[in-house]
Amino acid sequence: MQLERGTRATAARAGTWRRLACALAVVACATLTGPLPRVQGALPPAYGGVAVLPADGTLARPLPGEAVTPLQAALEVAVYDTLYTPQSNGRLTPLLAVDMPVRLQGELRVRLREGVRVHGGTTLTAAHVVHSLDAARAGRHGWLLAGIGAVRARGPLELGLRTSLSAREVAHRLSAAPLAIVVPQSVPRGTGPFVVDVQPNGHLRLRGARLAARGAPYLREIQIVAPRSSADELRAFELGELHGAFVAARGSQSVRARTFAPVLLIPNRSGGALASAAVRAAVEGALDRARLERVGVVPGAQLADGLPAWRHPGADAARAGGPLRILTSADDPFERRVADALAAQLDARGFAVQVVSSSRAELPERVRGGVWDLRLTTLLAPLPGERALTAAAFAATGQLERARALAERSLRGARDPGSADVAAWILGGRDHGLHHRATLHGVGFDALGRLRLDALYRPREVLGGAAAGKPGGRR
Amino acid sequence: MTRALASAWTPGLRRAALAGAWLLACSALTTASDAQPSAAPVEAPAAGQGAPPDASPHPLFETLSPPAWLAGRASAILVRPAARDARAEALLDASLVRAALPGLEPSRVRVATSIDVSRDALLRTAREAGHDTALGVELRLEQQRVHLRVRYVDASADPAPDHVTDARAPLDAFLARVVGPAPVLRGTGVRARTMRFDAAGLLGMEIADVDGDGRAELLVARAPHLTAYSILQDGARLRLVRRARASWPGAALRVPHARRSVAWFSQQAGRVLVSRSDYEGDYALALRGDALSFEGVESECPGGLRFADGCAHWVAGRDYFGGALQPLGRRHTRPSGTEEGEEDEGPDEEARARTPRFYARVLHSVRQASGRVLSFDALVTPHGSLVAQVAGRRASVGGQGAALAGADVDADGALDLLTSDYVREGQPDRLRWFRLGADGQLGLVWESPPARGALLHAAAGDLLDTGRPAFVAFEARADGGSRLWVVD
Repeated sequence: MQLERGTRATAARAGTWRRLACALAVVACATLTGPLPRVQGALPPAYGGVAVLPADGTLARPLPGEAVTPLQAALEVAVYDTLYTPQSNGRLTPLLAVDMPVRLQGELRVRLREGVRVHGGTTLTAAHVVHSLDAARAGRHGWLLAGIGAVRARGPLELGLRTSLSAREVAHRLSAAPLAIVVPQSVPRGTGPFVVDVQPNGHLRLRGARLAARGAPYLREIQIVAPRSSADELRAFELGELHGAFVAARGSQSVRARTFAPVLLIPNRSGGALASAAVRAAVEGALDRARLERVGVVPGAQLADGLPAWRHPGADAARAGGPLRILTSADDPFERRVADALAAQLDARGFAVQVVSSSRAELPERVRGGVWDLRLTTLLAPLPGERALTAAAFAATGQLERARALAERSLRGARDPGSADVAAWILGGRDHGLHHRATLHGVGFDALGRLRLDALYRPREVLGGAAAGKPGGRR
Repeated sequence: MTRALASAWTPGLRRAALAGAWLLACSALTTASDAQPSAAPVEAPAAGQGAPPDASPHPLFETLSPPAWLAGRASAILVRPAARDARAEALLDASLVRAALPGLEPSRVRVATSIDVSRDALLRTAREAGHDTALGVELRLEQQRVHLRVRYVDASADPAPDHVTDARAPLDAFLARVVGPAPVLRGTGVRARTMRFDAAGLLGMEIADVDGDGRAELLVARAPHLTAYSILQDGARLRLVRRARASWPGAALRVPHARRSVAWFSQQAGRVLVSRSDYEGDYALALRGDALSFEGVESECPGGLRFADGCAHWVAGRDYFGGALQPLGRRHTRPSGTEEGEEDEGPDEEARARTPRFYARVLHSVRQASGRVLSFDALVTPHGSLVAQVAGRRASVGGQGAALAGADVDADGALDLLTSDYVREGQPDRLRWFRLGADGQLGLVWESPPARGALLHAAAGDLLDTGRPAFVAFEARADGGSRLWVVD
């Protein structure tokens, strides 16, 4: 009996070892035959095909400097070109210009590339650029041209800029998306990789421009369909009607931007309840940034690493109440979601919050009218760097003089310690990414967190033969 | 009985019988082709008879430098070793007489075969046969390169002066008939070696002699600079030695801009020219000492890629070349477009194009065993097809990548091609070696083990200085640790 028990124990041990060995062998086999790291492929991306993407806000014809959502910012870049463009390593490369500005006879001269084609067939000239920059100066991003005087055409393909700023500084400014070149025709035209059409149903159709200065995009066409509810967007994605979605879907692949656009909560300090520092402190004390994560805000109180957060002394203990009106853009559903989340937080602290949405056309007027206490905005930085971000925050919070003052010195480089206080709460960064089908490749974002629409492509096996890329052939 | 025989005819017996037949055939062939060399001259047919009419001059013989005293000679005797294959002798004699005895009627030249081409032997032979000039020819194969030495002896003078001239050329199918073939290439004999080679932003590569020392360098074009390397062979190990590096000269961006940056090389008037898809300018490369320089030149194919049969330009707004070649020397004009014309109308116009567009193309003249030179044309299309054409016959095979290089590696008159794979996301890439025969047939010779990275660029040339071309390919790995493949 003892012997039998010992034999059984030995057999059991042997069985255990066998199972262990088998398991190890299976693991080894799985390791050896497992998938290799992803490779780009030995054929460059193919040209052609259509991608359908949802909008993240109200759709309108893109115009430089008008974007309020990340996708709108990406659309601006897809349709319009700037004179210079920043590379991923931070260096500037001439895009519509031939080379860096050169100082000549007391002004900076910029030569334009010859033969750049504007969508519609005309050739870009210095007069187009002068007109475009003058229009930008008069717009809400005019502060970007602070320190740069009159811009004149010095020939068909040469500009003269009156300024004491350095050539690098000017080239840096001219790489800002709001200063992209627009040629006014029957509709505003650009020189970018895509020609944009507004469809009768409100959707945008981006057609690849073959002779684009920046290079033809891989996709023949991108359709941007009007925004819909998260559930509808998810359903459309899962049914294969969309190639990408901003809501997470099962089995989808996703790419997130590495740069988050700061979300600003701006108090109206010139009138209303928030003119009082005590009330502002109470609002600050009510903010729970961690709870905003579920509406797509990556918590953070600073504009950028190393920049100070806007703080009110005694905010944790401050108490106040009363009605508050939060103004949001009706063009951006994200703002509405954040405003509703904020309303819940403030409501718990005794504030009666009303969220008011206003259209793109009405919003500036409402802001000037002053009938609001808080407003939300997503800060889409026009240029890389902390100084540019700070100046953009000044401009977004209505402190245009401070934005101009900063710009007159420089918008390049690290922060300016004296100009870090933007008088607005940073709620965090706007979480931005794209969930996409396996049949949409090349999804990526640039250094400013903008989706690179011109780099998207469809795999060859989807494009197939001659019929590939026809609008009906979605996969 | 039949059944008994069939049962006795086992696989083992079959193999033994096949081996026996193989040995018999080999011995018969050896007997037929290996003519025993003799020291005494043996008369051969008159020079210039029996050579194929379409045989072009062979470069091996074109570099000979005859002595000045050769002018005005009445007759000559040419003494050479017997060719390994008698079918090559007529053309060999014709080529030798044309190159070594210019101005002398072929009918006044007698050819004899002997391995003794010493001065005294040549003098004796010439005087005995009544000729005023004697030529002794030595041909020998070193690695895969043929060395030719011609000794001239003036039999009319006393003492008789002599003159020696040398030439060398890589082995080809014709010379293989004269001096013996290179080892037969089989898939199992292909050797692939890899070296770590971090070359981010690689635009293109080429194997060419840029310093004029007769040995080819590896030229690697990257976004910021161009570098010349030598590859040194130490036993089975290879070592990459950087010779020189130069930054690209400043130049204007091309309009429209190319989404994919590529550099391409061509040979023009003995110089190596390089151009880029993203910047204007054509440059001749020169390597002097450890200084590599760019010299702006007027190319025969401005802004395009020069081939012997024309000039290829990038399709506007695309990253591949148009198939319709333009005549050399003509400036390329950018297509003008209306609003509709400048936008994409279809996924790709490849289907409509009459001549296939290509990422890479190889156009090689390969000398055949008969002495004829055949033009081999191979390209990889944007759809991943390898399309090959020779003597009006076309073959194609799908599933290929953008890398392409070609050379007659084993001097058999067929073009050897190296391609990469048509890779889908997540799949490993690999190299493939095809042989394109003179009959237009494409055959797969070898396939590499899987590569982790993407193989987008390849080149071919005599990088190891053996006379035998080798392939190089660059494997770009996204996670670092990129590799240079040397396949021979």
